[in-house]
Amino acid sequence: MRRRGRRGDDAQAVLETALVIPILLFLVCNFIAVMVQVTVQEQLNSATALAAQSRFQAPENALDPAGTRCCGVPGTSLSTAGLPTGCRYAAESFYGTMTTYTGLLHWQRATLCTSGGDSGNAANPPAQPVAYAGSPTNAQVSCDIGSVKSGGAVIPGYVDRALNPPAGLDVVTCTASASLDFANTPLAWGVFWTPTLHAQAEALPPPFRQ
Amino acid sequence: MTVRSRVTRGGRQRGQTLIIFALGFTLFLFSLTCLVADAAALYVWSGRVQTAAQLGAQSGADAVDPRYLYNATGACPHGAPGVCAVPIVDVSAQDRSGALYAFQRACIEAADQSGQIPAEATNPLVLKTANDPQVPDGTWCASDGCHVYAEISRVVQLPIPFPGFPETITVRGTGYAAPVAGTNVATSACAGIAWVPAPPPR
Repeated sequence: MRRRGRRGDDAQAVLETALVIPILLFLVCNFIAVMVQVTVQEQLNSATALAAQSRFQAPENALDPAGTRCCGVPGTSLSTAGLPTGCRYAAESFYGTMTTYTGLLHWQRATLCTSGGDSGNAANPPAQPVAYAGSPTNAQVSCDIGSVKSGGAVIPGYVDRALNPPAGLDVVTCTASASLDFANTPLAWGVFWTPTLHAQAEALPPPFRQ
Repeated sequence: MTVRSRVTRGGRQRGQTLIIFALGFTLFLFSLTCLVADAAALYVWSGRVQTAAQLGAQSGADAVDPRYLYNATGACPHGAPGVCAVPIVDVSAQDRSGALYAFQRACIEAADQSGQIPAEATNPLVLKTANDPQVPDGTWCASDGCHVYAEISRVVQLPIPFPGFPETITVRGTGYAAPVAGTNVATSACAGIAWVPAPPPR
């Protein structure tokens, strides 16, 4: 009688364990997934902010000579010939910063260098940036950067009307978007969501360039 | 003492133990939840603030007028003959707003925006600018003439504050950056001649 009862207890314990372990694993997988998402989002924020700021470390009106490529990441080579050097600096900062968990990211490819764009106000309608001629369209980051052509023609950057209203201020903006996919990881067992991460950063030109 | 009364007392003790265990375990779990949530929030914010400090320092260094570093000269003002030093943005009075130098404005602006320092505690979406007082949280930027130094502090609201303990904690980050200047002579040391006439007030 006692032996049969103990055997029943053992069976119950096994059943309870079998029920609880998947739930615990599910929770652990999702905890890890949230942690990874937060880390990647922080990294994306930093990368876009540094990319926008890097533009100002390049000579002001320099253009990349023919044959220039970036950004040193295996399998990713972007031609920046004829584009503002600041744009390549921005891209190199971005690619150099995004170093971890990149295998989980599906990038929304964008035009690397754009110009123009306006945040808009009552007197000026908002405007979208336009791509530089010859700019790569498969970049992970897109930066809106003004420049001066060799003939002296000024190509405006993004005009943020919230700064120095109503005229606005010509700033540099960088954006990047990617979805975080856990499908090829063990976490796929318990993580059923694929968040899309987005980051945008704006850098003000130094006073001596304004 | 009869066998029956002994059994009854044992049952009561088991019930008492169960209640104490339930209360203790509840307290333990609650504390653990607080610890995990607060530690996670502080971990995220410390990284964010450190990045903001680095970005602020870099932005400040980028805002140093390179004409100063090259001892640039130009035509003298008001048609005076000869060659004069060009007015440098960082130290020219007309380019200063309030007590801040140009590099400080750039540094504070970038760090406050990146560190998401709210201008009002009630509305975290409105962020501080260089014109706002940088207390109780904000950015402080200085330079020794070779580097720009940024120190940012951010008051973080703990997601699940433990009763009896503070609801906020201030996290800090520091960053250094140097302005880039190309020369025709290789140098590895900085003379430390400040482009600011005196150490900026804190």
